[in-house]
Amino acid sequence: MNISSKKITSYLLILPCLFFAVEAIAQTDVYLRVYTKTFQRMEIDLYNFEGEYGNKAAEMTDLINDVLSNDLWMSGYFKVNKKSGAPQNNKNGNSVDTRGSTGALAQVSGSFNLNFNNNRISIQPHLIDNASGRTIIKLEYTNKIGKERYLIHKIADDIVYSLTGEKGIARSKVAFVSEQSNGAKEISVMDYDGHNRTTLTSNKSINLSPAWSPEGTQICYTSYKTGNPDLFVFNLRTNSQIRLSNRKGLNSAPAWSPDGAKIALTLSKDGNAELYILEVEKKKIRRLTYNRTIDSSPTWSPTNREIAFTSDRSGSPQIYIMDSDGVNVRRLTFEGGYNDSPSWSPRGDKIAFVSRTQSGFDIYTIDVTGENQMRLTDSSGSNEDPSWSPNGFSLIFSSTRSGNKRLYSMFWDGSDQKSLTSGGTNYSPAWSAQLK
Amino acid sequence: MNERQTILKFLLLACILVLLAGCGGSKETVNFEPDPFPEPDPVTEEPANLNLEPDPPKEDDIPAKQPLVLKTINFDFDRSSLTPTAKAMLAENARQLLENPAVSVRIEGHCDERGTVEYNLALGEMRAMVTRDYLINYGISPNQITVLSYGKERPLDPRHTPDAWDKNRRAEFLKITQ
Repeated sequence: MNISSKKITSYLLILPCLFFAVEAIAQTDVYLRVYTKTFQRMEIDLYNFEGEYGNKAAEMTDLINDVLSNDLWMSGYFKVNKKSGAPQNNKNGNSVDTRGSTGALAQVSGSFNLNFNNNRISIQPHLIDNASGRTIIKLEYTNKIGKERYLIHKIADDIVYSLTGEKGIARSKVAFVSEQSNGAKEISVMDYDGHNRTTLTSNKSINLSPAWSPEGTQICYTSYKTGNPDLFVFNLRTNSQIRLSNRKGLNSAPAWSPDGAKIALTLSKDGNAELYILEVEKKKIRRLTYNRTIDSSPTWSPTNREIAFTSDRSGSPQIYIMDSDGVNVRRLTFEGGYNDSPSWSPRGDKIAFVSRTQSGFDIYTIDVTGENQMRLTDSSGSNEDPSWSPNGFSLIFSSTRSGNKRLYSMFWDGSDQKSLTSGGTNYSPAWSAQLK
Repeated sequence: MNERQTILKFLLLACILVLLAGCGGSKETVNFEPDPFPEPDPVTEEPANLNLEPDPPKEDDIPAKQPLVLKTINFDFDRSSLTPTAKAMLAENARQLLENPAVSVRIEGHCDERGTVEYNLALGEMRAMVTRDYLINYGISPNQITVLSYGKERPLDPRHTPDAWDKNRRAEFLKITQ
């Protein structure tokens, strides 16, 4: 019996969330606390899920432990305590008040089983709020065999949402450029944690600068497959591509507006690299910059109203902000001789960028007011192409610290830097919105 | 009186000799190369606007038709301006192109790896455009030339050394057959 998890999830979650909001006043604006130095992650006790999975039950238990722990950690809010033994509830799964027996905010336990008849895997998590002893989630999640990671990501996202009121990032993806053995550079996609890599393009050419549409079904990129750097859009649903701009010169550095209606990009058809807006539906372009210097690398504010970009109009590449119609240009970076690759946080308050050092580039963030410039990487190799996670708490970037160019993730303060790819040469990552 | 006359004669002779030496003695032809005024330093310069045209080649100087060899020119770090060495090479390239008006070329601009992907696409293009404009001022037809940038995506030397970086900052000429 397959239960539509989405409907039940949303129905069941509304009630406890409303209830929970009253009980747990500390949850209000909890995301602001993440940015403070005294923030302490909330603890969740995680018990082994048990069940049947052919003769691989132990592997399934381990998979759930690993993926769920990492997803809850990467949400920025939680720290998972691995617990041995059985959770403290009775056989029927009814909640037991565990107040006082653990410092954790909540506990997660559950079970899983395979249905070979219809080739489906089922996972049944049980999330209990320790303070109240109440069950927050007790559901069956099912999908095709092979989609276990996706199911666990969905469970993690539902846990994050029910405890914080915010969307999780566990089902988000990263698009990036991957060098192939034949020398071509193709656009690839992977889960945000580095798994399930696939190559999207296979035109054996140079493909660059992937940029996600806000609903996550399309990727805009520049390709040399027709000889000139033209702009294309790859549709992930239909696995097809269309050409969006093949104007003379560069059609590069695309950035999709948060409302999905426009793409900011660099065109050099008028003599040098300038910024333009391309209306996605009507295909009309509007010019934003008018100077004889290089203007490139646009990034949208989450309000759609402003664009940050790189310009060397002052004599060297620096970050600027302008209204999205091109007026009210003001300079953001004043330290260092080469600042580039701006990426506007989905929370709206910070812009990540790179600044060139002796050994390459390092990644910084700065508030949109121009204050609180913070250095995140420490001259370990060259660190480039920062891209924010959809919840604004993490960044993905490329680094040569291990020799080859690899993709790394880290939190907004530079902590927990870890590689997501190992071999090959991978760069220009773009973190999607939270996908379904 | 005699001494003065001697001295005067001597001086006159010296003057005549100096004049003879000064005028019309050498028969070598002077090849005059255009010397445009120095270009500004910033990366974002406009292409050089040459007011001087090279002298047309003299009858004696036109060489026999050679196979077309168009040299790659290099650039300074973060610059799209032409170095004196680059200009000399372009002068030679221009000479060959003038002799082969049927040949079309694509100038491909490149950068070393020490900049971002997107900025280098634009910088590579500036290098190709500056090169093109220099040739056009030599009299090459704009119809003979197209430009293309590869940014830092197609290094000549994939190593991460200053040597490799020097080689990678370049504008290359590709002959396009019609």
